Amino acid sequence: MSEKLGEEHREKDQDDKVEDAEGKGGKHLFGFTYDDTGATAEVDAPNGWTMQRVIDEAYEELEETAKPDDRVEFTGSVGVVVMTAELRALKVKDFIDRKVSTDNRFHIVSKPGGAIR
Amino acid sequence: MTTQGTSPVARALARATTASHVKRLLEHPDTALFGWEIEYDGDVLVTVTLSARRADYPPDRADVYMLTLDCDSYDVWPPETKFVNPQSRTYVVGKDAGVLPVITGLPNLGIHAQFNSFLDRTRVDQLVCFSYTRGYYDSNHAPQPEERWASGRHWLYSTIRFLSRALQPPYYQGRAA
Repeated sequence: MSEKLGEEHREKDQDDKVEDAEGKGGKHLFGFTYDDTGATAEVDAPNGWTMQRVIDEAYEELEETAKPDDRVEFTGSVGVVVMTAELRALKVKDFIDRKVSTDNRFHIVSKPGGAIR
Repeated sequence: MTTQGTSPVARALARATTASHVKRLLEHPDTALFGWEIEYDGDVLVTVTLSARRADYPPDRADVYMLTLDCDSYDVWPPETKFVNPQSRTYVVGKDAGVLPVITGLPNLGIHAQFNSFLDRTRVDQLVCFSYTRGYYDSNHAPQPEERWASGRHWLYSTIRFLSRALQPPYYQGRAA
């Protein structure tokens, strides 16, 4: 079991190296708030990561599990923007270069219980 | 599943938890970021002023809402949450419906000006209906286990943040008539 985990870590490290290389070594800091609890986390992400990877890392930092209805929101030039599949697929460098977010701060929004009896 | 409704928590305990969580709320970065104005009476009542903006408002325009969070059963149960008249700081059924916001399209939030299906059949009151308000549990709602208010996990922030988000585009539509 530990051998398998070690193997996975080595693979992840290798992936990180490749992604760092693709991203030319730069990193960017993204802030996350989990709206359900107010917990916050920061992810220092290499340029080569996809934004989905950044979000996955944030969930891990926050020790939360992504739920199917969760939204990830941030402030864009025209107000609140929801992370779409297209935005999630962007590499960090592209996301930054396109100035998609004004402050690189994200809110993870879960659905509370509602008026279904 | 039917809930049995909520019950008050020992006052000293409710007060201590409320005081501790108000302090935590004041230190949270979102309080400044979203401009939440928080007042605490030193007992179990928290009052928050929130800004609301519709998609077509110019950047310098906002509507202001006052919310009271009565924590007399906190944090075993969520705060009793109401939009109130900023002058009287209360909500009178049949008189103050204009202090309510109109919210559309946000899953699992209902705001009722005059709700009359509480477990206490004599009660007619405003109901801000989602699982982080006390009234929700006093009105026979049955959330999924993962949606229930969880003491120690959910707190004042959870309730305020959800409503603060509701008061922004694309959900906020303006004041109730």
